[in-house]
Amino acid sequence: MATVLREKDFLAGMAFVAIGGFFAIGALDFGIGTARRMGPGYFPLVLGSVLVLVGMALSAKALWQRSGDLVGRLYLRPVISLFAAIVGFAVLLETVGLVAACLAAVLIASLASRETTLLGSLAVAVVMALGCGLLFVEFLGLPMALWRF
Amino acid sequence: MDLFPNLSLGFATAFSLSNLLYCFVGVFVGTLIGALPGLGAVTAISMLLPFTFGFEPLGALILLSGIFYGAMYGGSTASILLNLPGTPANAIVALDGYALAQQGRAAMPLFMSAVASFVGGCIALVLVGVAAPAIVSIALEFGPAEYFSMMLLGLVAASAVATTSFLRSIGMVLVGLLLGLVGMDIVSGMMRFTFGIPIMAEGISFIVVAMALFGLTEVMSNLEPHGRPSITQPKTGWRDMMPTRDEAKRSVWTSLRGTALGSALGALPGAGPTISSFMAYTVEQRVSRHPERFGKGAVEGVVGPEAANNAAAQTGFIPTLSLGIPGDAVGALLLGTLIIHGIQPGPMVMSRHPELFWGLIASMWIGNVMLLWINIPFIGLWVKILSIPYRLLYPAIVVFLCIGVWSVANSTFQLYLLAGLGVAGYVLSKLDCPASPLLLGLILGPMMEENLRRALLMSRGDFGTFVESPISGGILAACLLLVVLTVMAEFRRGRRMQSSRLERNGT
Repeated sequence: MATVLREKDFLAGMAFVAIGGFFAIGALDFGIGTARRMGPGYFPLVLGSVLVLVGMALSAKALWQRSGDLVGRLYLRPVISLFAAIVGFAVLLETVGLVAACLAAVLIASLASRETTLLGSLAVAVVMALGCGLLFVEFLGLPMALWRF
Repeated sequence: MDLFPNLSLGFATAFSLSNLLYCFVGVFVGTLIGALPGLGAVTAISMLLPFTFGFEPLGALILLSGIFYGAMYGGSTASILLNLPGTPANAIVALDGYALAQQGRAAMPLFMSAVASFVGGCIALVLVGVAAPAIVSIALEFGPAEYFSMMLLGLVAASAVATTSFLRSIGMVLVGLLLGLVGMDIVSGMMRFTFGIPIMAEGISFIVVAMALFGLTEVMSNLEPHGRPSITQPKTGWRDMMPTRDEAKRSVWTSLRGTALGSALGALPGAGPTISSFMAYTVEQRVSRHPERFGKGAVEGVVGPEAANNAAAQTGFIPTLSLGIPGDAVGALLLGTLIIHGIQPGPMVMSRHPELFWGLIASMWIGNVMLLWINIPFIGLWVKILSIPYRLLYPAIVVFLCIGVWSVANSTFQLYLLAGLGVAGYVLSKLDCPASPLLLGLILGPMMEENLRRALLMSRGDFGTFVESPISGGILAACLLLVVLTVMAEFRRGRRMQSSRLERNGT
């Protein structure tokens, strides 16, 4: 019984139930209206409910016919480092500017893989910081600060 | 037919200096992206999309579609040399292409795949020019009920054909449709699911979603530890590229069969280049007098799928351009581009902006010619690019994603959205939930709601309006049939898998 909780079908179905339920319940606050004069909640309520049904069918199918297709291992290292790289880019872009944001994003992103070397990543970081500054700010004219003092 | 005056208008537009430049940049970037494994055309298009905001709408379309069919050319390079598909549509080419590469004849399949792609692309383009106006003339009669049904069919077909699990893809379509509704409701002005964040009123940008699910999630998955094969450095002289006389003769019919198959399948929503190339391979194996050669370096195994995927890449534009209903993620992105440039997609595009439609068609033909010249003499260059290690490449991709997403609205809020959606996308990909249906739903969501509302307003709330019109009723019947057939097939497959598992456990 416990393995069904790790089956891809079952988990995907439950995810759909959660997402559909969230939208369907949220839609109740918007005013449903009638089919003739639809309120803003009508379409989300219908879609959310159908999604809940689809999710339940998928999970039920997993219980009914065990495919034995279990969810693979989650590799947290790339996920966390890339998440951090993007958030770091966003924060530094607003506070210090594009050059620092590029340097930081490349270096944090490099933590995602064991194959990266410090020297190689530093080189990519410098090239990206200079290249992006020239290409996007000087040449394409994006309204980004290169360096805020 | 007034195909020829229209084509001459198209070529006149496409031959302007700036459009030629956009076309070249598009196909060049496309070849590059296609050649690099782990970077798909959808990623590249979504990364470059924000930078085309300032272009003329036609220029933007030319550049972005160039990336798409350019990637079809470039993708075979990685398949043949690395046994790693550059794009999913080129995966099957690896079977015979890589076998030939191991025999020291890598240049020949590279050359033949460029030629086959060219043949497939050019013939399919003629079909686009003939078929799209014909479909438009029917679609002009469509009312909101027909539109709603048509979009429904597009979404159902895309989920039914493209993947193994219908319930999953339909679920992802629904998630996409729901995400598309986030933001201000155009009719009532009410904020929906914005969590009180003012910038969310504009909705969730499809560009951010595409970059998160096709860019960031891809990088995350690629970084999972598994071995990468080493590259074989091929000889790329002219003489090495030439097929033998026998191989050339066998390739003629193969490329035409591949083109026919790809053109037919490409125009259907959901099927697209990937399925066409797999089908073309199977067909070639069936009709061949020497099926045992396949997998060991048969030239037909390269030529057929390559002609098919490129033909499908071209005819895939038919539903997008004529009905305004995209068949796959690339069509969805191009449709989004039209909307950003203030052009309402649909059958009116061809009559209101003929230069846009015919200019794009002409540019694709020019692009195919350019691709032949970019690919064949510079095979050596693409081989070198393949040897850039991924550890240096992926941090650069992350920075490009960040800058691209930021420039969607010049705001860092989109970056936080990118990071969050990227993690969500990784979890969904772990559950085998495909991202393309979500993107289709996201783009079509607001349009579907609007047409549903209009149809029911006109019929005074009577749902019968969807079945009373013969066109809409017929489309809905087709939808229903498709759903029933797919669900039945899926359950049968599930039961077979179950019984085979039980047998295994029993012994």
